[in-house]
Amino acid sequence: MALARSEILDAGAGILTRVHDPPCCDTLSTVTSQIGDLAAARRGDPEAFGRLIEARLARLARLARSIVGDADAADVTQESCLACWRHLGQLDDLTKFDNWLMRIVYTTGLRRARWQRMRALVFAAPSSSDGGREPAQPAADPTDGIFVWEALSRLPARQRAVLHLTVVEGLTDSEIAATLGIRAGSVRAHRRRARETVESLWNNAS
Amino acid sequence: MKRRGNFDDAFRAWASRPAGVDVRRLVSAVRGQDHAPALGIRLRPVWATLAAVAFVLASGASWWSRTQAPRETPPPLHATGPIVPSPESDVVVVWIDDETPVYMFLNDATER
Repeated sequence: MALARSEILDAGAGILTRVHDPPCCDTLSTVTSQIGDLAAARRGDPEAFGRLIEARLARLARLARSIVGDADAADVTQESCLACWRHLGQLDDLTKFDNWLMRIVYTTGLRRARWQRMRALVFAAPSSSDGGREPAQPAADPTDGIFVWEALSRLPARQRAVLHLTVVEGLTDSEIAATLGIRAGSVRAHRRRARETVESLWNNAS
Repeated sequence: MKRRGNFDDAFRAWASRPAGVDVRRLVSAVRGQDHAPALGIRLRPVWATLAAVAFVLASGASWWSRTQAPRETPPPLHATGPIVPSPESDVVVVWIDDETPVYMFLNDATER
C-alpha cells in the first residue's frame, strides 16, 4: 500500500519528535523505515527492534547514566530495552513510542536507584563520623566529571531525571511532564530543588 | 549565571559519553526471548502473581496461627484397659489406648 509523503510524515512525526541521533533522521526515507521497523518489531522481529533501539540508544543511556550513575547505566539501559521488547504489544499509540521508551528507562532507573540506596544503607561503612548517612564531599574540581556525579547523587532520582531532561536533552516542562508522567508543576518544583542543591554544592566546591 | 552555565556544560559532557551498550548483544538477548511478547503475550500473567501472593499470605497466616495457638501438652500415659497377663507368665500386655498395646517381657533374675 503506497502512502502519500504527507501521510507518512504525519504518522512519523510523533515517533521521531525526540530522536536526535542520527541528525538526518527527519528525512522521508528514515521516517518510513522507522515506522516499518516499529511495525515489524511489534510482529516480533528482533532485527527491526535493534534498529529502532540503535537510533535511540545514546539518548537512553544518557538518561540512565544521570539517574543511576556510570556503574549501573549499561545494565539499566539493557534491562529497559528488554522490558520494551516484552511489552511492545501493549503500546496502543505508536506515536508515543519515544516517550514510552524513555518512561521505561526512567522507571527502571528509579527502581535501581532505590536498590542502590538500600544497598548503601545496609552495607554502609559504620566507621565514618556521620554514620555513613551522607555521601562523601564532592570532588574539589567542579569541572571534573566525578563532581557531576557526586552532586547528582545528592539528589533524589526524580530530581536527577528532571534536571537531566532539562539540561542535557533540552526539553520543555510539558515535554518532561509527558515523558515522566508527572505534572508540569511538579517538574518545575523538582527542578528548583535540584538547582538549589547543586548550586550550594557548586559554591562549596569552588 | 556563570556558575550554573559551567555546571550545565560539565553535566552535558559527563552525560553524553558513549553508551557502553552493544546493540548486537542487545539484539541477541532479545532473540533469546523469542517467546516474549512483542506480540502482547505476558511472560508472567497477572493471575500467577496473584496466586503467588495468595499462597504466601496463606502460608504466613497458617504459620502465624500455629505459633500463636497454645501448645497442647500430650496427656500422661496411663493404661486405659485392663492389664492382661498373657498365657505365658513372663509377658504382660498393657493397653495404652484401644489400638496401642505395650508388651512387657519379664525375665527371671536367674537369667541375668
